[in-house]
Amino acid sequence: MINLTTSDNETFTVDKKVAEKSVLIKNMLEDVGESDQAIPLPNVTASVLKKVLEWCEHHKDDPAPPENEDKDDTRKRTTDISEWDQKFIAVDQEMLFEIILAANYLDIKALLDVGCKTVANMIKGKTPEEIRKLFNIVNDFTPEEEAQIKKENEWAEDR
Amino acid sequence: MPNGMPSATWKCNSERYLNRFSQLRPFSSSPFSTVTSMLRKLVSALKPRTSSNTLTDHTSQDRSSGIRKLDADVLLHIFGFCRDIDPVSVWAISRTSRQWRQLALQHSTLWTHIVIDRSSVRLLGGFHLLRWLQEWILRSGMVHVLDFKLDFMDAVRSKRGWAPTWTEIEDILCTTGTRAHRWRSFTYTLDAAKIRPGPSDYWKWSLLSSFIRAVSRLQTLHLSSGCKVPAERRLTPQVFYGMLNSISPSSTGWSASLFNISLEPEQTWRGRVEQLCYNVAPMSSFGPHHLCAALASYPHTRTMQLRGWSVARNAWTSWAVLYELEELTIEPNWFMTDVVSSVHILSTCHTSLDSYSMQDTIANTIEFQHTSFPGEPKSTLQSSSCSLPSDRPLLS
Repeated sequence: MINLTTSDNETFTVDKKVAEKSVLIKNMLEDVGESDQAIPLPNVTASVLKKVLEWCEHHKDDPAPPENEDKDDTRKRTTDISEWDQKFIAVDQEMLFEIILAANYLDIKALLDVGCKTVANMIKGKTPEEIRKLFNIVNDFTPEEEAQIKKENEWAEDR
Repeated sequence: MPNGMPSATWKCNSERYLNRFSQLRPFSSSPFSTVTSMLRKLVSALKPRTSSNTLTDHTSQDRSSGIRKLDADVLLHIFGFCRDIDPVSVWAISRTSRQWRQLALQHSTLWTHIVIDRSSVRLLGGFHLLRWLQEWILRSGMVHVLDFKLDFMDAVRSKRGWAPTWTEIEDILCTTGTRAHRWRSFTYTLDAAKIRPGPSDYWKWSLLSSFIRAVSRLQTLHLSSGCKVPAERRLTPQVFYGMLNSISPSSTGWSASLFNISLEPEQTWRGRVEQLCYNVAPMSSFGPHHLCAALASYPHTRTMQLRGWSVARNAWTSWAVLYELEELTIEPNWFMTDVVSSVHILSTCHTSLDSYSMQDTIANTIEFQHTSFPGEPKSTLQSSSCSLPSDRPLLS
């Protein structure tokens, strides 16, 4: 078993196989060797780690993703999300982005993909204004940039 | 080149058009406009902001936005999925915020999937389709392979709908053709009945033909045609297929998916197609032996999927020899029975019945006899879980 300590000082004891879904933790364990000391995760809070570990537990027997999978970044990848993952990721936006951040930090590629695909699905079919509204993004283009964009796109708007 | 075309005019038009298509430049790219734009930006930066959306305001407001916490790499990962799910959304991304625009424009891989269909036209407009297509191609950079999808199958010829003219289609094909050397996949689907009339310039065909000679990285081809054949000769998927045939692309191991495209045995591809999906349309004049003869031109196909049927019958018979076929999936009907009974498979091949468009489920294992060469491995036809209507005969 492995102990993991979160940024808010909570400690989780988890099965090594589950924890090793994270490449970061796996590498740390390989570097440090057998130890009773808890692994500090200063960038992850307890509530987020709990969610991440729930995902790792469910996917602990999944085969490791191929290493060179994303070598060609023009290649169309699968965008399907399994039913279990869809339910798992049905959380509020704050938690969704926290999970994505944690997956990126802990280097859990499959979980990062689930989070990113979910956000991509949210963006699908939306106009820039709708995207801004959805994610509370402010239109920070200067009036000049705005004019430039409008000019670039005037043929698109002329319909 | 079509008969009766004045060659001088063709040459003149061709050169003019070649310039128009191949010298894709960003809009407002003249030195004068660049300097003007830079000066404007400088003046703008020096001026106190009068807009209600000041930079300070943005920062404070954006703190509450969870997506702002994501770094550029993660955002790019998301944008990559946006491209894969809905290529047109990259356009919206590039107009959302300064950071998003910068990221989108700096990463040309995000612009490598180009789709022209009803939904992209709804979002981007149909009046200046060529302009945004050119802009999109520019943003895809100079080296990446491109996936083009031109889908006019669901065009709607009504006041509210959108349907291109034949002239527009020729222009679109010529524009995409300027990057033929970068095509990785090409999809062209069209129902001629839904296309608006428009003058046709045959020199554009010749131009497209010359562009297509550069195809070398094509891996996936999907051509689909409606049943109606236009009264005049137009640049339909059928004609496009003929153009591609003439060049025998050097890329190997690729897949072709053809729906209602007539294959003339002497015209089929000499390239090494490893996967072939062929769909016969009911109204086509394409009989079983016609298909069989065409299949003979794909002797090294490893995976083959045959669907559909037609009422057409051929008076002549033909044989096809498939040397490396490993998987054959067929729709169980009389048409395909005729086809498979004339095909020699010289390898161990797993054959399945396609449950496509069938209803009742049966679980069966059927063996069929076909004429064999001496020593030829026997193929088995398996239907592990396919559906068949009870009133339709199975393979005999």
